[in-house]
Amino acid sequence: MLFSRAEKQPESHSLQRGLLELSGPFQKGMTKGIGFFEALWQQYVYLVDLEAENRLLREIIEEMKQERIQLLEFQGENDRLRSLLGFKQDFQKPLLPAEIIAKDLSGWFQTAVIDRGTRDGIEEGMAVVSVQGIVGQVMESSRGFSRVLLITDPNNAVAGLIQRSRARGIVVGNGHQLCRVKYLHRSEDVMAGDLVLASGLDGVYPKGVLIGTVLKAETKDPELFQRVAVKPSVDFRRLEEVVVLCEKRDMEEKDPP
Amino acid sequence: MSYVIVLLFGMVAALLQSTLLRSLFPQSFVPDVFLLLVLYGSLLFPFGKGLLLAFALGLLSDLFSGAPEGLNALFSITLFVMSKAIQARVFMKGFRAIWGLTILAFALKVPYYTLLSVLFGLHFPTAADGVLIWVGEFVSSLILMPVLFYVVSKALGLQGGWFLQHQGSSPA
Repeated sequence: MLFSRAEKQPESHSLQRGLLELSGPFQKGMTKGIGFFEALWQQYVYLVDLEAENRLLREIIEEMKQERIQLLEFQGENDRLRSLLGFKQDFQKPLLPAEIIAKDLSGWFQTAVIDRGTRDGIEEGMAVVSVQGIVGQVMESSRGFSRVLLITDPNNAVAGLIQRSRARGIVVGNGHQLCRVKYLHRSEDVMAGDLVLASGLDGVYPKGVLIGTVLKAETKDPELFQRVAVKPSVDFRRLEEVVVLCEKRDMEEKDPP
Repeated sequence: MSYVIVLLFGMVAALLQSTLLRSLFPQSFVPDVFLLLVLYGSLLFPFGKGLLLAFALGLLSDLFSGAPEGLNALFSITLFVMSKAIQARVFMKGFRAIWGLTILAFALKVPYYTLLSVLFGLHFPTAADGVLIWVGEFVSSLILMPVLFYVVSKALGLQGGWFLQHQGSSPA
């Protein structure tokens, strides 16, 4: 057979070519058809699974985003609590951390509600501070909650001193985010940027805790005292965690100068 | 029953205002929800029970804020009586009535606080800061007023559902 095929090669070649020519279009059609269905499967039918997979991946991404946000929140909280811990170690008195849960209903009074009350040992008149500085003092307490009078309220007063010149005055709130220093004699050396600290003479706040920074100081001619505006170091709009100084100080207890 | 609804509404509004809204809005942009409810109550309720409601709302306002107890309660009663006295002499109807009463109430707030600071030694913000707070409170209250009254009217089930249309028709 081989020999006969070898002898008849030109004819068989033509036959093969003819067969090839005949079968070619079918093969092409078949291949294209398979390719079409394969593409259909790959791009449409298979995409049903892909769509589901895509949805699943999106859900996973969303979950991971939420987890990331939570982790960032925890990290922020952790940083703040670490600062509070460091702050606590600076003080020799028992401190109680608390969270601000509400603010004053009206704009006329500057108060905030914290989630600690008499059952935690809080009493009226206790000082409330944060890592940034003085927050205010407890004005009323129930079993589980307390209202804090912020230093920006005009009814609050803190005995303060200018860190640089040691000039003393009374820091009162202006009722609207700022404070001012009263009874600061016109001869005292005060300028913008000076730090204002608690002098400790009021018997509420420990000496040296930051109150704020002098925004401007001006002297008007017939007036005996300067007009000094102070920006509190605490950002009350963003304040979340505070600590209550659980030991009330007596007026007789004086800090060393 | 409708008095209780208004009172409950005031409490819910106060809780929202002291938590969520205080975080969202600027510090001085705080509407006086209780004052608006007292004025609305003066248009809706008879004298006796309306007066009690005004007192209760004022007291709630004191309790929710750092104000001394009685400060807003007294102001609420004063406003309620003033509003009733005006209504007895002047025919009041519609949006202009409640708008006019609100403006009057806010105008009265300034001498009232001044009087209190003189009589009882209370400290209020200085003039410049006080004006800022007052304007913020006034503008935000005027903006909130129609929304608040519409919601309260709906909650009370008043016919028409809009405060302009039920002048003289007290809720059951």
